[in-house]
Amino acid sequence: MSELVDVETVAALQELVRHSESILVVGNRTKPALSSVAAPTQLVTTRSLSGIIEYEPSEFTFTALAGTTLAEINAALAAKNQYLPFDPFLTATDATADGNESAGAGATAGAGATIAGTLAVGLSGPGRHRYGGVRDFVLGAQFVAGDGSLIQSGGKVVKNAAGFDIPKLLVGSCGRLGAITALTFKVFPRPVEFHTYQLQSADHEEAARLIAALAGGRWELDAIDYRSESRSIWVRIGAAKPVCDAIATDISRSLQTHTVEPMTDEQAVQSWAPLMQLRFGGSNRRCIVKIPMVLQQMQQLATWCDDRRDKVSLHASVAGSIGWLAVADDTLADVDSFLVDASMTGLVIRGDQESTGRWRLGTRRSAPIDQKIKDAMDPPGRFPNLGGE
Amino acid sequence: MPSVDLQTLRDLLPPGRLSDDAASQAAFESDGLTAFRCRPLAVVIPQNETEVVQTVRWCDQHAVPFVARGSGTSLSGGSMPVAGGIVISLNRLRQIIKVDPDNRIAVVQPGVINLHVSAAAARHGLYYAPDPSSQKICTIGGNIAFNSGGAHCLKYGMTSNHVIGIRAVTASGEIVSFGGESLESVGPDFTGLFCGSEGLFGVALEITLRLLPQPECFHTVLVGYRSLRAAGDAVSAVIDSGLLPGAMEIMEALAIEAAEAATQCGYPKGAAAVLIVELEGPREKIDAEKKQLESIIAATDAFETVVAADDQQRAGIWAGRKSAFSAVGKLSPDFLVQDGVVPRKRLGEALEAIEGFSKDSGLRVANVFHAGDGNLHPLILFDDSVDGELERAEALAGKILDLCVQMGGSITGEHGVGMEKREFLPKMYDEPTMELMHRLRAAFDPQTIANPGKMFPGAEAPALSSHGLHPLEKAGVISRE
Repeated sequence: MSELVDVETVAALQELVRHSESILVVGNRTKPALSSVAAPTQLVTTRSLSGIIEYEPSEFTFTALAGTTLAEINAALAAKNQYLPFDPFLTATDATADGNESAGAGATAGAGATIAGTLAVGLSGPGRHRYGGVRDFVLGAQFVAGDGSLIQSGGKVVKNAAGFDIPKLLVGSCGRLGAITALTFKVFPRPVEFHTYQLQSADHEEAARLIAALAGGRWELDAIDYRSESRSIWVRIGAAKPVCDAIATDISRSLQTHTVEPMTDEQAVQSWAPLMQLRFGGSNRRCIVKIPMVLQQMQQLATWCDDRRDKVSLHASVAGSIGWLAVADDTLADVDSFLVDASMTGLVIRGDQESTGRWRLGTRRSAPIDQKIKDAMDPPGRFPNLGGE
Repeated sequence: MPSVDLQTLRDLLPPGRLSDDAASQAAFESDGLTAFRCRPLAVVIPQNETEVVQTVRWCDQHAVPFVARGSGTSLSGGSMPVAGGIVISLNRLRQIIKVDPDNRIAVVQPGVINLHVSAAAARHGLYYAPDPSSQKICTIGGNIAFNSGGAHCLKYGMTSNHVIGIRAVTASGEIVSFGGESLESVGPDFTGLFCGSEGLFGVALEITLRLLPQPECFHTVLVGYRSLRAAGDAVSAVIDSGLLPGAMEIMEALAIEAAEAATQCGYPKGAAAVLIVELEGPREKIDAEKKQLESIIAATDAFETVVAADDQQRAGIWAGRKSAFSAVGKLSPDFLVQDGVVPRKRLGEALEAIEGFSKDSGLRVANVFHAGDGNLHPLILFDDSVDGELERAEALAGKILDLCVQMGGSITGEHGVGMEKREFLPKMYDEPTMELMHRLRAAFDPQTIANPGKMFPGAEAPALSSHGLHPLEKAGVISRE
C-alpha cells in the first residue's frame, strides 16, 4: 500500500503531479476499492484543500474546494433551505466508520465523503430520481491535468454552453483523468419536508410493474427505491405532510391493487440511513457494488440474489436505474460472473481485502476512443488507467 | 484546399444522395445566424446510418471538411457550411426507434425533430423536457451538438441532462458508443462530453433520451410592471421564497409591443416589462404553491396580473414569448440575437449597461430573457444596407459578451459558441484550458475536419458574406430565442 501524502495547496498538487511517475488523488477514502493501488503509484489526498469558497443562495450555486466534506456542504445549504437534490451518499461523520479498515494509514473515512470524491466516482443517491444525478448538478471543475497544468472548466452560473463540457467528463472518472481541486454546483430550494411511504409487492416482476407506474405517474415523486429481499418499495415525497399524504392516497387509489402506507419518521430514518452510508444487508456483506441497470435487469439481478440470500443483498434505487449490491467478501467473483453473463457492468465501491486494484466488474469497455480521451487529459500518463486493473 | 474528386464519394453512395449543383449548394448556405452564408462543395443527404458513416470515412480519407446538419436553426452559425466541404444533412434519419415507457426513455435518430419525441411519448403520459423555441423544427442531433436550452432550464437543465446514451461516428471514422439505456453508467461520462461539442467530435447516429412524466398542472402567471427593475425584483422574491418554477421569463417594452402586434397575446398595455412565471407539477403541490406565488407577486410593484385560466390562455401567453424575437425582427431589416449569461443578481446591472451600449452605438436593442437563470437574449436591430451598421451591431454584441464574462457569467447559455463567438471563447477560458480542449478535439478529430471554424478562434474560418433574414424566419416558421 502506498503511503498517503496530504497536499495543502493547489500549487503543491501541481508539483506532485508533474514529478510523479504515477499518481492517484483521493479524498477521505470512503470508497476504498477505488484507491487500492499498489506502489509505485503515489497516493495523494486533497482532504486539506477544504472549504466552501463561494456560496450564493440567490444564484443557486456554490463553489467548494475538493476536500470539502459533504457534511459541511449539506449543513451550509440547509442553513439557507437549499440542498443537493442528487442526495449524495456517505455523508456521516463517524470516527468508527470501518472504511478505515481497508483504507490504510492516514485514512479519514470517518469524516465522510468529500465533494470531489462524490463527483469523481459518480455517486448519486435515491433523490437522483426527481431532478437528476451528480452529472446534472455540476457546473464547473478546476483540476490538475496529467501534465500538471491547472484547468478551469465549465462555469459558475447555472447555464453555460461554452466550450466542451469537461466537468461532466470527470464524473465517474475515478481520479483517472485529472486531480480535482475545486467544484461548482447548482443547488435547489429544499422541500419543506420529506415523507416516506412503502408498498409491498408479491415478487420482482410485480415490483418492476409498480415502479414503472409510480415513476411514470403524475406525482413527481422524490425517490422510488426497492429492497429486493423484503419486496418492499419505498416512495419518498418532498412536500408538507398534508400534500404528501394526499399524493400517497391518490397513488393507492390509482394503483387499486396496492396500498401505500406511511412510514413513521423513525421508520424512515431506519430505512434510509443504512443505505445512505452504503451499509445495509447485514454485517457479513461489507463489499458494495454499484450496478447501472434498467427495470428488466433489476428483475434479473434480484432473482439471482434470491438464490444467494446469505451472501448478497440488492437495493434497487432511482426507480430501478441503479443497483446497490451489498456482497459478502467471498462472493465478488460470483457477482462478476453474473454481470459478464448478463452483459452488465459494476463498480466496486468497497471491496474485499484481496481485491486490490480490482474495481470494475462485468463487461468492460475497451474502445480506442477511451484511451485517446485519457491521453488528451493526461498526456504523460501519470494517472492510473481507466480500466480498473 | 486541394482539389477533391467528388466522384469517388458519389460512387460510394446510392444514386441521388450527393448533390453539388448550385441550387443544392445555395439551399444549405446559411443557418439561423442569418447574417452570414457560405456555400459548401456538395451536400450529402444520407438515408441511413451506413451512408453517414461512409461519408464521414470518405471525408477522413480525403481530408475533406464536413458539417453535419439537422434543420439548420443554429443561432451561432454552428451549422454554417465550410467552403470546400461537405454538408451531411441528417433530416432523413428521422426514425424514433423506440419509446420505452417503463424505463422512460426514447431511442431516436439524429434527424428526429425535437417536438416529435414528445408527440411519440405523449400516449404514455411522458414528454421530452428540453424545449428550445425552434422545437417545432430543430432536430435532436442539433440539440445535442449545441446542448440546446429553452425556457425550462432552471428546473430541468439543458439537453445534456436528458441524454443518457449516444452512438456516434467520430471524425476519424470510429464508431463509438457512450452511456446506454440506464440513467446511470460506470466510468467517465463520455455522453456528457459529447453533448455540446458543436459537431467537432463527429456525428451522432443514435441517441437515447430520458423522458419525464408530463406535468399534471400548470399555473401560468403573467405580470405587468412599470419598470424592468420591478420585474427583476419580483424574480428575486420568487427565488428567495423557495419556490422552483418551471420557467421565469422577462420581456421588455419593445419586445412586448412587437409580440402583441404579431400574436395578439394580450400582454398588459403600457408595461415596461412583463414577467411570466410558470409553476408545474401535481395538483396537490400546485394548489399549495400557487397561493404562495400569489402572495409574493402581490407584494411586488405589479400593476396587472393575469393568471391563465385554461390551456388556451396559457398557450397565448407563451405564443407571445416564443414569437418575440421574430416579431421584433420585423421592426428591422436585420437583427442579431445574442445569448449571454450573467449571475441572476446582476441582471439589472447588465441590462442598464446594455442600454448604455445601445445608446452609444445608435442601434436599438430589445431584451427578452430567461430571468430564472440569468440568460440574456438581447436582440440588436440594424440595417445591413447602411454602411457600417453590421459592424456596429457586431461590436455591440461583442461588448455584451465581454460584459457577461466580466460579470462571471458565460458567452453562451444555450446557442453555443459556433462561428459567431469563437473569438470570445479564450476570454472565458485560459490558455491551459483552451489547449486541453484542442487536445480533446484531436482525440476525436486529428485532422480537424469536423465542423472546422466553429468554437475555436483561428484560421479555419469559412469565407463569409452577409445577407438578410433566413427565408423560414421571414415566413414565420422558425423563431429565434
